[in-house]
Amino acid sequence: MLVSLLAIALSAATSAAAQPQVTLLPWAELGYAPPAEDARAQGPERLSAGPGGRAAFYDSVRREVLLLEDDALVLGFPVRHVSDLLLSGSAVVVLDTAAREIASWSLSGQLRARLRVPDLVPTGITLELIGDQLHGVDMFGNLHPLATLAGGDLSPPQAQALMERSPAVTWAEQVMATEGLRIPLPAALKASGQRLGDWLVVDAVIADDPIQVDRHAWPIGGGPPLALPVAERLYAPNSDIAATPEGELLVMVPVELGLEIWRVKP
Amino acid sequence: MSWLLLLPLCAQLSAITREEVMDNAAIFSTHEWTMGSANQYASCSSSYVSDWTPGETYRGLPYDWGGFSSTSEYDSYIAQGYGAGSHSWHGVLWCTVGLDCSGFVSRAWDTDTKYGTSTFYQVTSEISSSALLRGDALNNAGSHIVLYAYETAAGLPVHYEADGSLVYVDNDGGWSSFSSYTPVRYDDISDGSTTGTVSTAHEITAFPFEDLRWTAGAASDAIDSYSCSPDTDESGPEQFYHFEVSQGGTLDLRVSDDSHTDVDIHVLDAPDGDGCLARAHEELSLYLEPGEHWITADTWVGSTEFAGPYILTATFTGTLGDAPDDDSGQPDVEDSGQPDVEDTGVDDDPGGGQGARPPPGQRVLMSDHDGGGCGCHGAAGSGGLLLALLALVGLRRRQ
Repeated sequence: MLVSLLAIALSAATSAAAQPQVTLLPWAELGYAPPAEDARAQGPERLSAGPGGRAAFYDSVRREVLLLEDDALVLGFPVRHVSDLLLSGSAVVVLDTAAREIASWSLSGQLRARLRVPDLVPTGITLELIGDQLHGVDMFGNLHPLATLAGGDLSPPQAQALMERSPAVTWAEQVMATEGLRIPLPAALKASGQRLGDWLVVDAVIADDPIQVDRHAWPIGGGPPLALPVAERLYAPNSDIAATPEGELLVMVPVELGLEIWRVKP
Repeated sequence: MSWLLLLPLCAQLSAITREEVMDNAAIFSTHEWTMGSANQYASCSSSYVSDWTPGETYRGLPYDWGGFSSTSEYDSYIAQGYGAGSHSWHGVLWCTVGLDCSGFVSRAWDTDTKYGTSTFYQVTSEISSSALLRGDALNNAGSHIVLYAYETAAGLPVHYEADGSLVYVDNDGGWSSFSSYTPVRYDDISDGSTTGTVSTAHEITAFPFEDLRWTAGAASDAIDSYSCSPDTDESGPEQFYHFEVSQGGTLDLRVSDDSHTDVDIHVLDAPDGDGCLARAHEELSLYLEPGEHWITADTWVGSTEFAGPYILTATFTGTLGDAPDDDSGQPDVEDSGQPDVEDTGVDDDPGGGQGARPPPGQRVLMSDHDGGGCGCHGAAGSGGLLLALLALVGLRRRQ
């Protein structure tokens, strides 16, 4: 009953939400490996959004980083293992936690620099750029300085020490909260939130056995949430959602014909 | 059905604690290995080429479809020239090594045989997602399984998995990644913890070292304060680590914890609070002479007990191994020629804490952010002085 009420409430709130612009990238241009026993399906993942509407992601089957401009593939370049990917105004930064390395590539696909990840930085990190300082973010949200990113080149970071910080999003007592927004989810069995620019993306587990998830993007400044698809039919890409500095939300959604890129204006 | 038929299945189960499961997971995700040129190819497949680059050293075992390697088996087979990892599109190859998703979870649970995502039901029970604890799993029968580890403040499910190219810990993405998965619990997992005490300390056998662990529920609560910061209340539970140094070098430590946890690190030359050489809230660096050493990750207690998860990372420039005997001819520490204390001037020791007891001959480099018990983060320069004053008047803030 509670689950139904949640669904109804979200459905009503979603009705007036902004509509996404959807672009389809056909599978012929991308790698995809179907699932097998003990092998999750593989395909594009690690979406990152940069200024000017650019986007980049990692094709884990062809082992390429692909760059999108105006929602068209404009460039692909081969890489080794990608743990995370970050698109700035001047570079694509690739994190490889297995090789303990970050590498920067120009937007024309030229390798600019490689830098070793310090041994005091744990393996389970993602990339975050604050000003020109590139950090590894651990599971607690704390920042491990990795590099200075300037003009597409990497150099040692200005500071070396760990920086603790308070979480940007909290989930407690059935409320998902970030600065400027509180979303009660009384019926959720579990929920997770990601602050992406001016959006709070909330995944709410509404049933077990198997798990069913409702996903919505809530504008921080107020307004109705946007219902987002939950990719499960073909595969669920790792890191399938990102926001541009201008506030657009980008989502990658695998479908039968190819990979959809959803773009939502703020 | 006869008991004879049931016995083999039951015999495959072996009791394991959640802490041991997470230890096993960490071993596979941090194990270092070096790729050789022979490991690029596989003798049983002409089309196979490994994902990995010869000459490079990697952290984390490769994903290998059908693989069920232990770390020692992996190292052995890599040395023999087996292919490093494989994908489902290569087919199941006997001449490649590594772990697939279910092989990894089987190893983490220490089952005697490899289960698959479609056969784990034989040794697991379905649970609610709200009941998930570290060491449980999320299974999608016929496709994938991951080991649940932790939930961030934002509710993001941190998990270990063998996926794509390797075994790794993933802290990115929300619950939508697990739509259509079923939460499951290994039938013979237990909550108790027996390791991490003085007598069962976690042995550090190699550097660089990385460890995700919890002080909440730790088996040891033996030390309440340390000589290098006697006024700091460390009366919460702690985890002990142990290692032995045969050749001196610089030890660097870093601890990161979540917003509800406050774990401090201490380096000891005896397994008690009087043996404290240095301590820090986040990071420290010090020179260690040969001998036995312990590290504790101890829970700070303020208005409440801030026990919880933490990640400890460490590097050491010296050599691990049996320490020389006292009468081995090695110079006494007083005679080592090392400067007594080198203090970076960062917010040090407002309460007579860190650095108050530098052992003779040991060089202590502080990069701590709360000094010897100030408890304030990011204090440096004049900020350190302000924070020191705050500490003196009892305005302690811990994050």
